[in-house]
Amino acid sequence: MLVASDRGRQIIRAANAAALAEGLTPGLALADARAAVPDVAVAAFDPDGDAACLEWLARGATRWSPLVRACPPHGLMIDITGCAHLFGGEASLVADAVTRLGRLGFSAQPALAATPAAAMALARFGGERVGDLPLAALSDLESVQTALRRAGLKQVGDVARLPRAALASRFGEALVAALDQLQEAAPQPLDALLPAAPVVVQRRFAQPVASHEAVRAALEKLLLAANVKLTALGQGGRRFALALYRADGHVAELALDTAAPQRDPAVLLRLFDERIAALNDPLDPGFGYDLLRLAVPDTAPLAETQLGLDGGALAETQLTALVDRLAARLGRGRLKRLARADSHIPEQASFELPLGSDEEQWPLPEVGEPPGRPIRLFDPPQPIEVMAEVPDGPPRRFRWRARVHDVMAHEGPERIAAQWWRRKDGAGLTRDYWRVEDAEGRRYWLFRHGLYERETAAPRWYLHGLFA
Amino acid sequence: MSVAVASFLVARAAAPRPRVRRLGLDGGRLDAALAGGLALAGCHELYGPAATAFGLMLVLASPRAGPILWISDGRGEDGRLYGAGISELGGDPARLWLVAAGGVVPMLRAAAEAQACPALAAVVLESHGEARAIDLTVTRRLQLAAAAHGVFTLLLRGGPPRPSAALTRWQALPAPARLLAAGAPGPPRLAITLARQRGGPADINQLLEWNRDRHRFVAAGQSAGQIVPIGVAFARRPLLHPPPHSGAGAAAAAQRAPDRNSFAA
Repeated sequence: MLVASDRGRQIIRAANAAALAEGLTPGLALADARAAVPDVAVAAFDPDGDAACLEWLARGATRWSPLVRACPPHGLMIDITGCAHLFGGEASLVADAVTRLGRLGFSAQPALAATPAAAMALARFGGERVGDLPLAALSDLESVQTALRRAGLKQVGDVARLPRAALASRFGEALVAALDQLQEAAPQPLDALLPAAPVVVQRRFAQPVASHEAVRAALEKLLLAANVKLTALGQGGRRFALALYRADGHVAELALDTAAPQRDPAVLLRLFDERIAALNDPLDPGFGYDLLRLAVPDTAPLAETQLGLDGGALAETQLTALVDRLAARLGRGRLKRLARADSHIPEQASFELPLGSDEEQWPLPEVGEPPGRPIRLFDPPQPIEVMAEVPDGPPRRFRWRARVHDVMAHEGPERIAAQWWRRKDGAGLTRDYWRVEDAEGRRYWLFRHGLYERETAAPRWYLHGLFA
Repeated sequence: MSVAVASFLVARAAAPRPRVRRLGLDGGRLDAALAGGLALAGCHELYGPAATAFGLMLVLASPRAGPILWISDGRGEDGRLYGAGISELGGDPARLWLVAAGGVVPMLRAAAEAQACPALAAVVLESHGEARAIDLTVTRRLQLAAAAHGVFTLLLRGGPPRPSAALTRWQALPAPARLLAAGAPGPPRLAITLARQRGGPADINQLLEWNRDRHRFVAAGQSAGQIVPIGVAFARRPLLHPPPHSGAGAAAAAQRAPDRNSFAA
């Protein structure tokens, strides 16, 4: 029995079959239950834990079909359309599911039906046919059920025989919608827990495999099978998702992204090796995996022909292979390039984008001028204390990181206006940038935030970058 | 027998000689001490406040086209690399591929992968802090890989220099630039010290000014039309001062100029 506190009282929230047989139903106070059955076993009710457990079961249920939905508080919906033959028919699939859940300590009430709502109702209320379901399957509302009963209707089948329009006007649209959902008229699509993939290959083991070598050999076979399918499609994969289903219901998932479409099993196997080697918590096979599935959710055209090994193509291939290896080891998010944006706000003009995105042209600097932008930029700019001879003049001395720097040479100001068009009030402070050099020869990029007297009485200074 | 010998000799003559390509720096005593310039198939260690700038300039001056893999072990205190600034330094920011390895060990692993890729122009390792893990063994491995695959490798040390097997070690400090009209600071100048060189002279100072339009260094004294006396030099050896346009640097710059953006295509 699971109990939870409700306004200071311990209330039963769920009970197993034995407790129900003793008459201990949810809603009863724990004290009353103890009075009736003194040695009842009690545990705390944990809805979040239950939801997480259900989610975990749902991931495990993807072994039967990619279309799985967890239906809290305690339902799992699996769309087995087109999947049952892989398991020897619907009946043996259901038997497999019940056995596996039983092994994990769950009791399951399976039901098969043409629509999700009907399956759920059959699982809840039992029975074989939708028409035999009680009225509670149509509506949770006691008032609706009573009204239906008063009209002489006892089962869903009785209601279904009546004209819809009359039902809708008397009992509401919700009832008709529920009826339609039970009867296939209104399909209720399931969201796929696994993304639909153009290429999926899987391998099932009668005896779970636990050794690294066996798993690797199986993975190699999967990659070969995927290669055959991809070649037939004239495609290469850009993303490979491997799911390892453990016999105890746990699912380990690994994904691999490649810079260019790829289908070469040897290359992919090596990338998976690197990916597995770089895992923070290594793969724990436990008692072994009994199903491996490789999906290729993202594909792109890949020509059959080999790349010519002339200079440019060879370099391109080598670089692509390098990027893939680094991405497998470190994660694709750690590979960046410097991208350019059309913005005159310095910190927005250059930013980091993932490697492999389209490159844009950088403008060539003016010949003969010294560099006008720093090689390193502080984001956000660092506040500094500045002494200037006049409030709107060049800086003479500044303090940064607890050190005083005397300005020996300066150039400026380069005035950069705020993006007033982006703000509702049209405000924003103008920046006056100065390129300065201190006594040691270090070159800094400073700015005064706000025009003296016109925008602010006490403009603040910031250090924004370091020059070469 | 004689046929075999002859064919052997022919094969010897036809085989490409292991050419050590070098990058001329100042066309003067630095190049003389380096036997012609900085070996491109090698690992070089840079430290000091201007190490990032010096490293960037070296890879921009190197003649190889292709991406520059910039591997960093974490985030330093000095902000992020700024594309517009690298463009203003004469480089194409699109060539710079940044790898945030997130630690010294992942950085070294990534470097090992990268050094085996001859399509890269250079591999730069940027370490922050003391990085004790980068020791004699690690630097030796970096140097061997750089020599074997011919990949120009630079190790930027954020902390103080530690024992290393790199070919050379450089200290890079910023130096006051020459002033332009209205007292504006001119092109970047660095005070460079060749602190160590394996099997060669060391302790040589030079003021280098970066010419971003030609992607090369100019010894500061020469560009300003005067000889600037700098630090320690070789007293026993005559100083060599060929004109700045000779040497590998000019050839490298000429070769490189049309290469800009070639990889972006």
